[in-house]
Amino acid sequence: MRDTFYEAGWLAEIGSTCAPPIRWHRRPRRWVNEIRRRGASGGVSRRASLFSYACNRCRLCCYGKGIRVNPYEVLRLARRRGISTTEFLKHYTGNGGIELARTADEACVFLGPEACTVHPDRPLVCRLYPLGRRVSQDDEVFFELTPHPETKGVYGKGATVQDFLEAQGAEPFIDAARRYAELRQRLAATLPAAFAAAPELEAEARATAESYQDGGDPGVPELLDIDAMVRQHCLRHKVKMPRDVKRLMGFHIMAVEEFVESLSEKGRGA
Amino acid sequence: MTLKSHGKQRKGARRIAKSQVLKIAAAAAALGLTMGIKPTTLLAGDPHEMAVQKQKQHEYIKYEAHKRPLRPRPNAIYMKYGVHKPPVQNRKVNPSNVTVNPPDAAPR
Repeated sequence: MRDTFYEAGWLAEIGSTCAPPIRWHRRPRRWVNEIRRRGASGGVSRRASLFSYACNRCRLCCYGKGIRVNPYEVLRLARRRGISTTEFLKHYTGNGGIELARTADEACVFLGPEACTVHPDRPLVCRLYPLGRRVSQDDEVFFELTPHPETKGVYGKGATVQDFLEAQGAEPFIDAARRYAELRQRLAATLPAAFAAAPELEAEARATAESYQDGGDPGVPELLDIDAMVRQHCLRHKVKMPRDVKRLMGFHIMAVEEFVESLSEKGRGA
Repeated sequence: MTLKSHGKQRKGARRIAKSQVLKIAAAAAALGLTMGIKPTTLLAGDPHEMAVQKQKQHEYIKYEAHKRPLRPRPNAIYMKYGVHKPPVQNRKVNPSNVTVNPPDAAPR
């Protein structure tokens, strides 16, 4: 394989080693094969794709973004602030506890005069930036987000997406996202049975669910407050509340599953 | 399954609190939204889409144009290789520059 990479043009965007795209509309088969081999097209990348990004702290990406956080990210940020998740959700989030609050000038609530004030515990989207991540059941792709036009970040091809993820410490967050995605599926799977038994509930549940998307403030879902849920769970089972964030997440998932299981048992008893 | 709003229960049946179902719906919707899944998809129970981690980027859509892959202009290619010329019907002819049978080109 050749070691040179072309620095401009469409094929360069995916880190191609092929010839420059003089006639890409009549591109030879080997160009197409190269794109398929790298598993990329139109800026979509895999973990092995070539990508690097140097942040120069212009902080432009910290403005005007809706940063959505899952319970694990809330827990990490709350511990960084030295408060409980209940307090954190009340003071630092909006839109039902799923989005980080913003200041009057649309900056992230944690953006300080120099840089991010919670950088070691920043959420996954901040770690991945300028990449986005899309996951399906058997696939994971990364894509480049549109940068701010005046960004000072420098893009390159000197490393891979995997290197970038490791440098950003993204793996624990990706693992948490996967576990919460599985939990969401289990939660969603219990709803059809409940709706079948009580059709009048469906409209109300749908309205509750959609109120989170409408940008109103429907209130923080009780089930997603890690500290409150785990405290109740530990009291019920007479066990000591863990301090480690990873164990807390495990306990939280267990507590929510127990709650859902009690609904299923009631359904079977009826 | 019996609900409180249904009035009297059957003997032995256990109640499911309405709030319990709503709590689950709210939690599922909120969790789904953190992964970029719309609540409508969620309640339909789509098993295929699992999670999307994506930032909102409604601000900068207009700047996407510069990322579009550039297709070289055909004329540039024709000029580079010389031998290939655009089809006759596409050639632009300026009548003022055309000289019919100039004296120099007359056969000897």
